[in-house]
Amino acid sequence: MLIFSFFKTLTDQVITVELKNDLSITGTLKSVDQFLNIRLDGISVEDPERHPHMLAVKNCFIRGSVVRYVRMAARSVDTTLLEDATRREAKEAKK
Amino acid sequence: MDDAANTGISEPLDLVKLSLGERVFIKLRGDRTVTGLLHAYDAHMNVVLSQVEETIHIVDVTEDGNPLPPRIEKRNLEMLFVRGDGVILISPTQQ
Amino acid sequence: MSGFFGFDTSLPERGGQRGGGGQQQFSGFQASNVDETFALGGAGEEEDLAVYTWGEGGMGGGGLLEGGDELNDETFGDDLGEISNNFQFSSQPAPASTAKGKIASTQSRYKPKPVSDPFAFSEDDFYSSRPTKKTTTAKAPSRPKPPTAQSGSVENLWNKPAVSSPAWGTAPSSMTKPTPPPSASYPSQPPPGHIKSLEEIEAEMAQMAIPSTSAAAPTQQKVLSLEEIEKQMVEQIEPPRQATPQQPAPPREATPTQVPGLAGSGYASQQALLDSMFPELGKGPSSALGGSTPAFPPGPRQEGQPQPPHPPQPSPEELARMEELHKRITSKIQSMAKYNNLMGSSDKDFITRIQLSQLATADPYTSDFYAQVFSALKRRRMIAEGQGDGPTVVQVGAGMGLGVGGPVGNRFGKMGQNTMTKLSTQVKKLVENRAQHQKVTNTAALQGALGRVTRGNAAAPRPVLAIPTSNKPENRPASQLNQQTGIHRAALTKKQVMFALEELYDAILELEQMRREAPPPTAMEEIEIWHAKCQAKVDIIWRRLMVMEPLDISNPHPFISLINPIKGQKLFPRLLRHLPHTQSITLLSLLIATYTQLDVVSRAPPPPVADASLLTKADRLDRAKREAETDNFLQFVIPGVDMIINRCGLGLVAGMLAISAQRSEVWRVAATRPGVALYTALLSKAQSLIRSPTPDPMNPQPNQQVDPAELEQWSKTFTYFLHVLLPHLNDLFPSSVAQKAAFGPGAYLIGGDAVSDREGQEMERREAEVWGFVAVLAVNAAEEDQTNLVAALREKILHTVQSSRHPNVSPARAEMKLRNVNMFLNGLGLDASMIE
Repeated sequence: MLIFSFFKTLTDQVITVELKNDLSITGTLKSVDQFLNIRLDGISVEDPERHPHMLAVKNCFIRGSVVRYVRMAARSVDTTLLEDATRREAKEAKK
Repeated sequence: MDDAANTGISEPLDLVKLSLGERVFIKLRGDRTVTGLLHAYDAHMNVVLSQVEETIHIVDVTEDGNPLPPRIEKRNLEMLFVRGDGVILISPTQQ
Repeated sequence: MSGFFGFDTSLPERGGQRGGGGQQQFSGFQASNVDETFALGGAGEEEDLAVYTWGEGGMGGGGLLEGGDELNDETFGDDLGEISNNFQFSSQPAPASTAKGKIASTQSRYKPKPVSDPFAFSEDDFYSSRPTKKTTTAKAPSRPKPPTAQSGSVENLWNKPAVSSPAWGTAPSSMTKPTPPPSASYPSQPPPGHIKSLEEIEAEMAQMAIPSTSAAAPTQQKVLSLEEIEKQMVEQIEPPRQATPQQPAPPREATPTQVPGLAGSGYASQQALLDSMFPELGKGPSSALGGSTPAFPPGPRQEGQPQPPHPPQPSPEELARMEELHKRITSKIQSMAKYNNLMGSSDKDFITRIQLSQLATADPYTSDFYAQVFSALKRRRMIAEGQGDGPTVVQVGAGMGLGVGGPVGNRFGKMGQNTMTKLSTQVKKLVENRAQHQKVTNTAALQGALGRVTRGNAAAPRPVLAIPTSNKPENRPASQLNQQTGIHRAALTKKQVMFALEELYDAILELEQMRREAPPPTAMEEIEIWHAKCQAKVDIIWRRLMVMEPLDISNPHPFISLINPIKGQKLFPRLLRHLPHTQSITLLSLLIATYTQLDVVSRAPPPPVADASLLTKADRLDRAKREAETDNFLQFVIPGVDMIINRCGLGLVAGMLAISAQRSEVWRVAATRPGVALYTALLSKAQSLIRSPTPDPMNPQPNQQVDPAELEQWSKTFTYFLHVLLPHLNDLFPSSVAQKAAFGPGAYLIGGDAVSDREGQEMERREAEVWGFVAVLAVNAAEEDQTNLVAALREKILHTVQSSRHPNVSPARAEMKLRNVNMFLNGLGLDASMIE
């Protein structure tokens, strides 16, 4: 649940989701679920020439398993807190 | 004291934990590697990194099918989530 | 495909129940929030069916749970082979002309949605969507009229399946109800063999949707929720506990969730998502019970609906078989009917809560720690901003995570800058204070040292330095530092350090959690127990810090090894918050005694070069890394050091300086930024103690009066310190060092101040730190030492003042230069404007 928790704090932020087929979609994160499925609004595609079929799409739901990376602004992440949360999670998992 | 480093490590992820907040090297599927400061990980090997440098090793093939010498593409990203299903290995960087 | 169970109950006698069921199942979806259902269900159907439809299946969609599969055989009987053809649409692309005109409809139901899965068509390596892609391509040629290919709208996607009803209903409906009374409101039946157009299908759907939802959805639930319950019960190890939470995330204490400001935040919208994921559950009894009577669909219209587009001619055997099948189905449904209404609305609510509780657990601090604390910090920040400036925006170590998320602004780092400005304001205050004071006394002697000097006229005589004799300070305040000899061992390995640090982090996290869980102030006993527990934890942390290890046990000392990595530096301020005063003093003494072992001191970044292109890549990276470490040290460790120093009396400060002077070559330490910061903090604290014996209003302590013995000790220590430092003063300035180290064309660049303005200003900022240090040296120095100081820095002062007047230097940089020099000169009662 750590990463899910992490993504929750990114809602309403602009992120770029890079899929395993090299399609990169930038948009506002509207919601995420425990499978890290992602819903994006107001999307734009990084390389529209390669993916012309995406031009008309304004929002989308991305299945978590097809995601390779999610890029985000460093300022929207509290790294110290995130490391603490990771330690807590690691400890929970051991119990 | 000398043994301290080996007690309490019972599973591979414990080693990853030692690298929290430190720079790690991650090998990914698709001939990619990334290095960055590790801020979060979970049991799926999902990770969150900052100050990331991504390297992609590309082998182009000529028309008659002969591989050209590999070429390397690099990218810098300030904050990155990497989905765990693409991760092959995580290791601390040598410093 | 067990999902087909649900509908059967609603049409027990009908021949066309299978087709009708298909419809109803989908109408059930329709009733819910279409957007959400589409999104979740759509993704789920491509693979991992169980995963996605699980949530919906809880009540609405009939649950694609494995558990129901054994009933498939009974439902579909021997017919399975044929039926499975209908399900695996890709396997047997039946020609459109055959008796079953189902192709267009069925495939549209399972083909990937163009909207949700556009990627699948573009890339081959998109492995997860490959199977579906195959399906569509295999199917495409046989599609007589592809209504779905263009359909982008969500409604279409979900409506499509309705067309499947004719296919399923074909044989039976014609048998049991040979002449369905076509109602007037009905669209005319399409001629046999005609495949319905998109419009027709939609029109039919629109008519069907209303009756079928009310009738079918509840009955479906009844059948499937039973399995659901069992499954849930097995999974839930502790059902009673799970039952209690009324809210998905019942907060303890003041949980962030409760605060209204969260409404727009991620957590709230996540809840909204959850609600929409379980739409029917969310509505509770109203929708679930509304149609809970297993009524037949109202009116014959319903049965007439699934009229085959082109009537098939089933053979008698086939008809008999179908008949048999229906009997079995009916009996099955009847046997299950006794479970109807087994679950009341409260039971269903219970299930809902179980499902939700898996997402949002009872204790938000364990599984949702990051989001909870992050939003709490964010809210606090917003409140602070809303009220104007609030109390210092970023407090070092305030709260839990010190919300310093953010990129490093420049090479100083965000907090590093703060620390240095804080130190320099401290110095400035002292200098101003001193300047006023000095006006009264004579500055004539000093003016002589600088006054009326022009370039090339080095007339002012340099006084010979007083060589310090034997005034080695022997006062060691932190007597705990037991310097046992003989014990020596290797420094910790990197892995050992990392392991020790993780243990420390874990302990700190536990301690912080304990502190949060303070018992109410009224419960005296509990408080005592709590205090004891916290204290025990602090003791553990203290031991793990290894501060009490003999001073020379290893090089670097174990504690220094811990504080060398960035990770350890970040831990420092959090540690200090929990350590009692005496222990923090001990820790600081050790730190100062072993300051030279710090990476940031022993491997301080080399002076900047004018042109980074002269460096090799490895060199550049190494420099960047060392700069980053230094920034981190200034950001995380120095504020804590400053905090401890500020709690010290003059005797302790003198002792600290003595330790440093005794154990290290101070001029080497002072040539690094951490060294400058440390000494500036020590000297300015000492001076402010000497200067203002009046108690601090914030911190009234009885023994504020400076002890003359301490004063004596301080001035001795300081004099020694200054005299060791004097010959090296010029080398403390980064610009001087850079110039010395420069080679090739770079030497001209730096010497001529012709570097880019940005780099130049950066350099001035660095210089400011050192000027602040020499200023605080000046205010501490006795009168004759001030003369020495000015003499030692004379060239530097003149050069800086002159270059500030150089036409090539930008006004901004020139101003910085003057400000830097004046910080020092003002401390002596002088000003740069006095210099010609």
